[in-house]
Amino acid sequence: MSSVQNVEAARPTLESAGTLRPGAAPTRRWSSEQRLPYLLLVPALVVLVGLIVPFLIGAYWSLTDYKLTSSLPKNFIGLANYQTLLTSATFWNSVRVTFTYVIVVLAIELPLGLAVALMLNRQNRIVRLFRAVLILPLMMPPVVGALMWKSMMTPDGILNYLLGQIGIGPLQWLGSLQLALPSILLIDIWLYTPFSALVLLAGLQALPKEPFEAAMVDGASPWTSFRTLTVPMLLPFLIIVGTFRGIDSLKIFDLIYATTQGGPVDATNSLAIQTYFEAIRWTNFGTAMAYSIILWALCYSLAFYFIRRWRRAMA
Amino acid sequence: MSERQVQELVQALHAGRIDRRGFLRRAAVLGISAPAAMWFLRGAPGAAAQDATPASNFDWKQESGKTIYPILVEHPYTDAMEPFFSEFEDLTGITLKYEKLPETQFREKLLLALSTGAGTYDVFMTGYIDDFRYVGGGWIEPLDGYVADPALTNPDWDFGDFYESLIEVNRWNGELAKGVGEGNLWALPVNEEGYALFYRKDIFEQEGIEVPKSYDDLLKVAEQLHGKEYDGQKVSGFVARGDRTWPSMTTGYGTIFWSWGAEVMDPEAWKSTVNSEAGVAATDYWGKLMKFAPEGVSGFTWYEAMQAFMSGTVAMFIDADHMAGSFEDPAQSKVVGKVGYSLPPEGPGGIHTNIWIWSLGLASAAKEKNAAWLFMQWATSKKILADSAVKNNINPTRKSVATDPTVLEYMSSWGDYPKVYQELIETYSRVMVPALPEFAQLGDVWAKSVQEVVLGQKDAKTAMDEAAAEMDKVLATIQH
Repeated sequence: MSSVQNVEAARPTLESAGTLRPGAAPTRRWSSEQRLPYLLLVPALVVLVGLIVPFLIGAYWSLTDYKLTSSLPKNFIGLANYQTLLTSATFWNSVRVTFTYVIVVLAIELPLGLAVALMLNRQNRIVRLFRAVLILPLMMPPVVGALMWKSMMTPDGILNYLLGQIGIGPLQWLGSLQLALPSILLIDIWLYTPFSALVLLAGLQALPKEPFEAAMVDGASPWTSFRTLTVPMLLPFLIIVGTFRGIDSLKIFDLIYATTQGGPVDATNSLAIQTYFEAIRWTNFGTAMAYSIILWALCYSLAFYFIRRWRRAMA
Repeated sequence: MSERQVQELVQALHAGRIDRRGFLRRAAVLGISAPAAMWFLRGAPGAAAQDATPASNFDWKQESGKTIYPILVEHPYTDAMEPFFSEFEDLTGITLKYEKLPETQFREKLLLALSTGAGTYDVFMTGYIDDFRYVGGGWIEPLDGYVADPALTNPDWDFGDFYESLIEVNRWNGELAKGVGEGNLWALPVNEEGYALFYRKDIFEQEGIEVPKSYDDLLKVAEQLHGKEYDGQKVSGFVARGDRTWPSMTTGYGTIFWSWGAEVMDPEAWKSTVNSEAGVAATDYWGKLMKFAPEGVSGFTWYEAMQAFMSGTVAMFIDADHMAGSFEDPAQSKVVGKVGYSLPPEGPGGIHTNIWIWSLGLASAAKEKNAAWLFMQWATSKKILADSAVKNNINPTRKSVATDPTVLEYMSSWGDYPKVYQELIETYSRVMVPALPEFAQLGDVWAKSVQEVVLGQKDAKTAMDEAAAEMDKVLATIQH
């Protein structure tokens, strides 16, 4: 109450101070106190405009036949770009590649990250060492990691040498239609499972001890307490990891660009790679923007879905 | 030999008492090899100035005080020219602020910079396939006016010294899918490549094999040598670029495609013709030939293909002839002295290879066009091109450079190379791709289908029919 009274009391003083200055009539209506909220909003507005204006321009371009190298004016062509996409085999192949990527990433990096987190969720010297080692891939720029793996995956690279020692291969890691995508997924798993493990480890350490002690007293097996306590209580963290990895995988570009550039043929041609080809290599900005908008819609829906699940899990 | 004697010789040359050939002959008598003699010639005080600022009273200082921004590709030409940039700045009083990037990044950055019309770069490296786009966007300046202007162009620069056929490649009248060789000149040629057959002389001798003159022979030889060991290394029969982008189409594969008599498109019908009978037959042959390529060839750009050949693990290779400069460089290559150079075999339609020419272009949005033109003149001068030629900037684009004794000496240990590249320029290497800003997309689409054949996913007929259908969709978006 008192603070409200203070504000009420202060207002007349400020206003009268304004009227004291000669010729200050306009500032009277815009006293500094009234201005303050709007001033505080300015940075947010700038950011909002900075985000929305390019987005709207992009969305508009997706409705035109804009081609960078054409001196002709761009024409509004409605949804024709989208129509072309939806009937193009290349587009649907990219959708398939991208979805496969997302599903495999989530299906492997979440459980694997959780398993690693569980193993590291105790205190001793070896575990501390492993935690330090675990972070190493995370500190590597993805492109560097991808190039490193690319050199290991060449036909006469170290991976084939090692497999040769146990009588397997040689495999065509990045060169064959069947193996190229799994090979890139392998790199992704190597790079990002530590991320999922670290977030889940933080989650595990934040869990209350009591329910686990109670379960132990009641004679629950470790598996039962994992299934009925750990997983449900860890759900918000699993959802956060899923959201981040899901959206990153939908947009996957760097690992593919550095290894196969979408090939061989179209085996690793994700939506983001195809967008790059349309925009940067072929200068078809209209089509490229249609790809981008579809990719945005997919990311948005995925995030929306996961955040709803997260709210429910938190409630 | 004494340094004084050499100095006297250099002076004699500059005074016009002896010509370059005479100079080299006399230098040889003094026990100096041709490259060393040329080093004396260029390094000697006054020699460079003599070449760059000849007797005529051309005003190199007319744009003094200006700054220009060239963007260049990481390439032997750029490397050879870089050390002399300060010489250009001294000569003209113009400041150079240049950027140098690997080819892919270079193209992307330049394209976006040009499209903004902000004049970020004044001068840039380009080739005719790039020019199709830049002309379409209106970003590149026609050069004939500059060449003809005596106030801007030094008569000693000698435009007539460039190979006429290469100048023609850089002319285009803007007519879609035709009109190359006519109309405006868009760029000045600095480096030329045609496509030759490279083979391992040592292996061929050991096996008693003749250089293949037909594609049937080439396939037989590839099969015969594939998987055998030479010098302790297992070799593949053949290699070429195989990645999923258009340069794979215009080099090794293209040489075969066009030698079968096939064409990319019919400009009258405005349809792709890669699925013509000849196109399908050539692609079918390509699928068979690439069975003898190294594993992972579907990811090979020129770089990987060249590395494979230089590491000694490949018997035959069709690609840019001027890779010879790298093959014969002991610092990079394990096959020095072992490489044979030959025209590509004759196909059902004869011998046809594409051509590529790195050139210098002037941006329409350039802020300092005259200063930029002075730079272009300097950078394509006889002196700079002759000097860069012996530093692996081959093939020469000027007749005087091609016949320069130092350049001939530089190539003298490369067997048939000089004859092969000359024959390619004169008779076989031409612009084979359609003049369209969209060629990059057409070529990329095509390359994907060719990969499907190489990987055994589809037969040549199906893949080429699909490629043609996809290419037709692209063609349909072009207003012509």
